[in-house]
Order: sequence, then structure tokens, then C-alpha cells
Amino acid sequence: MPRVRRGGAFRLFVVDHVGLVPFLLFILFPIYFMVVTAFKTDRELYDLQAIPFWIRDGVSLGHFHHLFFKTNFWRWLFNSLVVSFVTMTVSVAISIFAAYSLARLRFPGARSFGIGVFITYLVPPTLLFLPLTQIVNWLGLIDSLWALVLTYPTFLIPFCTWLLLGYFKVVPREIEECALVDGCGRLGVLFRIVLPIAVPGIVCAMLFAFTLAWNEFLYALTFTSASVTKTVTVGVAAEMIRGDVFHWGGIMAGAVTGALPVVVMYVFFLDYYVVGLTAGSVKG
Amino acid sequence: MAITRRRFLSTTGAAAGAASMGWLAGGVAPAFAQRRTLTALALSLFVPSGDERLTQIMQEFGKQANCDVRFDTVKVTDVPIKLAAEATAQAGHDLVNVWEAFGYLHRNNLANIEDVIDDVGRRYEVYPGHKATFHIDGHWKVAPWYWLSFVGTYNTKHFKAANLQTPKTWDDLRKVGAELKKRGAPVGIAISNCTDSILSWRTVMWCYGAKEVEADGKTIAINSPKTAEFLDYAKRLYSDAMTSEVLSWDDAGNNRLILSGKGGWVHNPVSIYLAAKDKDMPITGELGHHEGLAGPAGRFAGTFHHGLGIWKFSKNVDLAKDFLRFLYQEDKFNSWIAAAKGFCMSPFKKFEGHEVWRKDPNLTLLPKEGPFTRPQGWPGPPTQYIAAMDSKYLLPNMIAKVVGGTPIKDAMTWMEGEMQKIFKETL
Amino acid sequence: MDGRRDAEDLQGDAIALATAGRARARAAGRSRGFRSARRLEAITGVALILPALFWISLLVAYPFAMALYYSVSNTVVGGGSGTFVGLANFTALLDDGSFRQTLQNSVVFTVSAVAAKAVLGVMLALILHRTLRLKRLIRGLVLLPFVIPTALSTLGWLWMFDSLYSVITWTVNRVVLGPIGFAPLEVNWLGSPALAMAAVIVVNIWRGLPFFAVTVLAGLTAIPTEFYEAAEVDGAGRWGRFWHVTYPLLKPILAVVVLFSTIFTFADFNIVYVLTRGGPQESTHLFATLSHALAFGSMQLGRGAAVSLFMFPVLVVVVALQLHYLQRDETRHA
Repeated sequence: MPRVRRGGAFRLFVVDHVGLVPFLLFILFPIYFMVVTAFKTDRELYDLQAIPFWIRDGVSLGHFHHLFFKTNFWRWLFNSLVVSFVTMTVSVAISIFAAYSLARLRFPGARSFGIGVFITYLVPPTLLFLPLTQIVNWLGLIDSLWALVLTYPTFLIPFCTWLLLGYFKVVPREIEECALVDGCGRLGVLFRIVLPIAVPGIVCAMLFAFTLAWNEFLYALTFTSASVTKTVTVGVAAEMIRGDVFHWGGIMAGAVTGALPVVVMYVFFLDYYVVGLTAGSVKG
Repeated sequence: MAITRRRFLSTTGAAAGAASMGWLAGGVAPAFAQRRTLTALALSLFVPSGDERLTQIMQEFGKQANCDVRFDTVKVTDVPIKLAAEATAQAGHDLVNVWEAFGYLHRNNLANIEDVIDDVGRRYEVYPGHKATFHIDGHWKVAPWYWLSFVGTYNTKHFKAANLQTPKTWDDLRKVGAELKKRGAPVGIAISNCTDSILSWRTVMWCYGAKEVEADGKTIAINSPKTAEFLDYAKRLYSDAMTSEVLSWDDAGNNRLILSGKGGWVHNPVSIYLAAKDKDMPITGELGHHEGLAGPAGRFAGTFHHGLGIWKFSKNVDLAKDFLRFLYQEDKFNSWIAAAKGFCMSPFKKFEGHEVWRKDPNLTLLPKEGPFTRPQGWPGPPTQYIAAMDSKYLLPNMIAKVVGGTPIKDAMTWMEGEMQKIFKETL
Repeated sequence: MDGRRDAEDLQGDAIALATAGRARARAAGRSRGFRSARRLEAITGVALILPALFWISLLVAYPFAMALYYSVSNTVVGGGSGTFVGLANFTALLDDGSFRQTLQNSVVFTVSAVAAKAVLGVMLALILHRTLRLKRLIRGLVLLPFVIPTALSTLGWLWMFDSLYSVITWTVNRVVLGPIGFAPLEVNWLGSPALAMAAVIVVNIWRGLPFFAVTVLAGLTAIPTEFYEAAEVDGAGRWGRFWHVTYPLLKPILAVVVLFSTIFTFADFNIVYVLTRGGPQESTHLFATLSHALAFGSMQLGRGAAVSLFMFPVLVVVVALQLHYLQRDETRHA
């Protein structure tokens, strides 16, 4: 934190906090609005005289009650959690090896492979999923959560690899090279030297991977059908948008509840997250 | 791909599967437990009890046919994605919910089912709209399931206050609507990128004698004096009776206009009334329906013709046909129509006197629309070319151009040009 | 000016130190059989990358090849493989008014959204970096838009932009315009081309701002305080410190975030699909939504693939150049 001697730190402090207000309004108002909508009765929702961002007729738990007890919501939440957790773990593990290899080891084609991994990101998923359905079918995984476990890493691995690549590059080479000289193998160096230093970066990659998997919609829609294999995003949309009738309260209740586990994770790991991004990206 | 485990999971519900990681494999059956499973996919119906009743009927059938059953739903706009994915993978559900042009679009992947429908059609008398939509290249490709009755939905309070009669013709509507708009209760038909917009305006277009293609389904006929007359009407209806709200609507825009109490009149299925009734909203008592409107060329009604098709690549084609026969038993189909609360109209004349419509005075008029319904693309069939036009929302866009100030002639020429590009393709 | 020189000096020192260390280690390596070590390193390198390579190529290579093939064929969904038509799909697109409109929309959408996210993101990060009260809570809150599934949060925005129930219009009219005696605003956010485009851009900014802000914040945290102190000694003001210390050091991270964000924004689907479905008329169609309409509305898989791959060569070149630049930048600094 730089300090300002002349002019007064207090004035700056005020300026900063006032400057934050429009940003927070912009970011939080829609979320606040979604929460309010989730707690409103349908009657009030469609009342033009009501105040849109305030609850007049009393808080209603009806939408939550419907979501929690009349649908498979808990099952969807559980599916989302497990799929996100498994794909996050697998993708980060694989990406650690790939990123380390790209960051540190010299071999022919290293750079073009790095760019190649990134370019798979440019392929629009809007169409990719059609032929991907064929593969999933050949593997006999249609309508199984394994299909998601298998396909999510296709977009998580490139993302995590690039994030970790940046991070590994800033681990001082000297430490590694000393360990190598002392007879430690490459894998030994990775596990004993690099990984402990890289913990914040890895946590950061895990958070990102988890969020991306948690928010995924298209693959989940395409590869699973039964209500018991749906994820939160697909399940809530299927249940709350019925023909040309949108159950706004239910949609918002689903969105808000569905985001809670991720929010908890972020709050828990926030410090790691910021530090992780730091080292990973500044020089990468 | 039959399994007992999945059934166990679905019956035990939420957290039960948590005990083992085996649940991840939801769809992969242990070899020793192979048992047929009949699956069906549909849009999540506006009336949940309709979906519940269909699930029960499937379960009853499963008991009789000694198989497992599963009925899956996704939101309406996601159904085309699921259909495309299943057709690409040549695997998926056995029975799928298709409507309008999706029968033609997937005609090569749907099994012929005249051995079921010919008999049903003879017994119950199927409406011509469904036949034109799903009887493709000389074969029944899709089983008629239901259609949606688009009627005039209006707010009786506003009509009374202005001392107005319900309209009988589209021109009446313009006059009534002008009065309503003055009193702050506008009329609304979406002029935007949504399917309701296409369907409602096509209805008006037919009533004015205009058409997009000839009966052969290939000859472009949009650029005509009749279309000019229709567009002139549309332009006047918009400026006299509507507000610019309609330019942004999705399929639910008109629902919201009426439910807010502000709207005077919209063209929609009865979901608005049923939703208000279901949620016990104060406006319920003020809502009224009236029969479809006529134009200079007569009375026609666009609708969504829904059906159930059987994928050719399904491993259970015969089982699925047996299920259709089971569903079309008089008592079963009657019970499903009752569960759908009058929202889903019977494709067969036989059921049009069902009590679900008789007992609610606001619904009695619905079955009367049956003889006026036409498939999208009429006087031609709802082919893949019509689907291509609709995926680009050509009709609403032509109208949007006109109400935005583009000369009628130019707008027609524009749409004709777009259609020529589409009809040049091999689809 | 001076601040910058100091920063470079410090970096220079670090580089010198690092180079010396590496040279020592290299010398040690060479004496113990440089060649075989090199070979072992290459083998290890390839071995470590194999799982990722295997996973991606197993699942992406085939679909990608198929998508490429679709774009030069007249394949329809579920209709087998179609026939080869050369570049007919692409030339038909160039001839198509709605595609040209989409191209223009995509450029406007991507450039404005990414530029706004970059500027606002840096501003927000600077403030967050200095804000001390409730730091943890505020940083957590800022991340929320990124966390709620887009498929659902966009529906919240749809309700906010509703032609009747819009909370934005209501607030402007009742809270701002009403009390000062102005006539209420009659506005349909998604009903006119310019407003609708602005609306989808705003939602994209809302969704993407947290990613920018937090990533840049992370970059700020990493800038050693000594740099600022040196600049201060040289009498640099607040702006001077930003321009000569913060900005140069943030450049690499900004480049990466802008790169990622451009790709995400360019490929955005959900926002437009939920809010406008490409309308009014074709004023908000993006590549992804147009391609979706063609492939699933009318099963024209070949044409849809051509739409989504149209910009692929351009993107590949841009991305390759940028990555190349980044990697070179790194090797120079490492």
C-alpha cells in the first residue's frame, strides 16, 4: 500500500470508498434483485403497483418450498457437486504435469503444443457437441454422469494448463536446478519443490475449474436426460420454464441456491485465489 | 439399456444414491440385470399434472409389458438441441416429442407408424391439421398428440369500461384496439424473434388471403397484392392498437401484458388464464376468451401440432408402438386430457366434447377452433424449408420492417429474396 | 519518468541474478553428461504432457475434424455425411445480409464489451487494492456474478429488462425522474436495435467484470512496494505512479486477460439467446446464436458450422501471435 504524505490519507480513503459504490451497485443490484424475486409471491411479482425491488406482501418461501420438495433439486445439486469436484480434480492433476512440462522441460515442439492446447479453446462448443455426442454414445455413456466427467476436462484442461504454466514459470529455476544437481529426478523436483511453492496457483486453478464445470449447460443438457442425472442448471431450467410460462420466483430461487456452494468455496479460498492469480499471471 | 439400478435411484430420490460412486454410472447397467426400458422425451408441459399423468400411464404400461419406463422433460427451446444430438448419435430416447416442421426435419430418422395410427385415426377421426403435419411422403411419421388453441384472450374489465364488444374480425380488433389503447390498455401480438410471433401473424396473414408458398410447398408466393393488404393491416393494427413493447417480446411477453392487468387483448393459448387460476391471482376473474377472428379471406388458425415420433434407430420400436396403442385407449387418453386441464387440445374429433372444456365456461370455445387449424407453411406442408424460414424469423422481421417505416413493397421483396436463397438449398 | 527507470533497474538486477544462477547450474549439468540429460528431459517432457494430449485429442480431435468437414459439406442434422460442396457455404454466407449483420454485431459486441471490461476492471481493481474496510467481504461479493450459472443469471436480467416490469425503468421513473418533476421515461430496453445491443453488452460486462477485476487485483498485489516508494521519492503523483509503475508491470497480465476475455466474449451464446434471440430483427445476432439457429432451427449443419468457423482462421492467427509475443516476453524477463 503506497502512502501519500501530502493531501491527507483520509481524503484518499474517502475517495476510494465512494468510488467503490457505483461498482458495487452495478455488480450486486441484479443479484439482490434475484434474491428479492425469489422471496416474492407470484401475485406480487405480476402486480404493476408493487415496488419491484422491495417485498411488500410479506416474504414467501413458496418458491423455495416447491424447488426443494416438489422437484429433484437436491439430487441435481448433488450431481453438480460431484461432477464438478471430480472433473476439477482430474483436470488440475493432468494440467499440473502438462503445465510443468511446457514451462520447464525442453523438447521438440513444446511451444507449438502449448499453442495447440490453447487453440482447442477457439473451437466453438455450439457445434462441437454434436459429433462429441457420437463419441459419448460409442463409449456407451449416454445418459450417465460419466459422460460429463469425461467431456468437461476438454475445456478445463486447456484453461488450467495455461493458468498453471504462468505460475510455474515464476518459480525460480535456481531452486529446481540445485535440487536436480543434488540428484533429485524431475518428478521429485515437481512434487517436492515446485508444487509446495505453487499451492496458491493450484488452488486458483481448482476454483476456476470448479466454477466452469458448475456453470456448464450445453454438455449437461445433451448428454443426460433422466431427472436423476441432471445438473442444477439444466434441472432448474427444465422444471421452472414450462412452455411459455416462466416461473420467475423458482428460477431465481434455483439460481441463488445453486450458487451458494461455489460462493462458500470462494470465500473460504479467497486469499489463495488472489495470491494464486498474482504469481500465475503477472509474469505469464 | 435397461436397468434396475436407475429405477431404484429414481424411486428413492434425492440423496439415496450417495452411498456409492456407482451412481455416477446412472445409465450403464450391470449385464445380469438387462431389462428393456422404454424412454420418452418431451418439453416440460405448462401444466405439470399433464406430465405426471403421462408418467403414470407409462408406468402402467411398463407393468403390463414387463419393462422399465422413463419420461424425461426439458424446457421447450432445448428440445430441438436434444433431437439434433440424438439424431446425430443415432441413439437416445425411444419416443420423442416433435411439433410442426420437426416431423419433416427428422423424417428420415423417424419410424413409420401407420400400423398404429391408421387404426386410431379410423376410430377417433384425426383432424386434417395433424395429418398434414405428420403424414409425410405417404407415411405416418409422428403420432398426433395434441394441439394448442390460440384464442383471443382479453381483459373483460377494460372491455366493459370502454363499452366494447369482443371482436369478430381482425378489422374489428383494430377498431376495438384503438379504443383500448387510448384508455391505456393496448393490444399485443409480438413482432419479434419468437415462435408465437410467427404463429400469430401467420394466422392473420391467412385470414387476409396471403400465403408464403403455394400448395406444392415449393413455389414462393409471398410477393403478392394479398400480402400487401395483410402488411397494410398489420401496420395499422400496430400503430392504432399496440405499443412498441411488442418489438422485444419473447413467447411469454403477451402473458405478462395480460397478467399485469394493463393489457386489453392478446393472441395466445389459454396458458395465461390457467396460470392465473393456478396461482390464484386477482386477475383470473377478469379474463375472457373469444373465438378466432376472421379476415376477408375467411377464418384460419395457426397452432402448434404436437406429436410423438419413434426414432428408427431405437432398439424398442415395437415396444414404443405398443405404448402408443396403450396410450390411445379411450380411457387412458381421456385421463391425460383431463390432467392437462384443457390446455392440450385433442387431435381427434372423438374427444372434443371432453368435460374438461365443458365444465369451465372460459374454455368451452376451445375445441371449436379445431376445424380452422392449419399447419405452418399452409397451404403447403410444414417442410424443412418453412423451418429454415422460421429459424431466421422472416415473417416477423418483414412486419417489423413495415412498422418501422420500410415501404411495404420493399419489405415483401426483401422476404421474397430471403426465401429464394433458402429454397435454392438442398435440405 | 524516474519511477519507470527505477523499476527497470530493479528488474534488470533480478534478471542478472537469475542468469548468473542458471549459468552455474548449466555448467554443472554439462559436466555430468549434458547430452543424455537433455534426452531424458525431452522424454520426461513428452511423458508428462501425454495425458493432457491424449484426453484432448481423443475427445476434441474427431469432433473438430467433423466440424471442419461439415463446413465444406451440405450435411443436415441426422442426415448422414452429406456431400462435399467446397467453399459454397462460406460464399453463401458472404452473400447473406443477416450474416454480414452478424459479423458487424460481433465486432461491436466484442470490442465494446472487452474494452469496457478492461477499463472498468482496472479501475475496480485499483480501488479494491486500496480499500481496507471489509476487504474480504467486498472482494468476495465482487466475484458473485461470475459464480451464478449464466444460464440462470441471464434470466434475471431478462426480467430486469422486461418491457412492463423492468426494475430499471421503474427506479429511474419513480426514484429519479418522478421526484424532480420529469415525465416518466417510456423505454423498451430490448425493443430497439441500439438499446438491445447496449443491453446485451451491459450483461456481458456484468458477467465478465469480476474475472478482470480480480485477476488485475492479483497483479497489483504482486507489484513490490519498493517500486512505488522509489517513484514517490522521485515525486511522481498518483497518476504518474499508475502510468510509470503500475501500467507497465500490469501489461503482461492484462494481455492474458484480454486474450481470454476476447475469446469468451466472441463466442458468447447464452446472453443473446436468452435476452433477444438475435432480435430486434437481426441487430444482436452473434456467431454462436446464428450458428445455433441454422443448425437446430433448420438442421443446416453445414451452414451452421461455416458460421461458427468463419472467424476461426483469424482468431488462430491473432491468438498465435499474441501467445508467441507473451512467451517471448517471458523468456526475455525470466
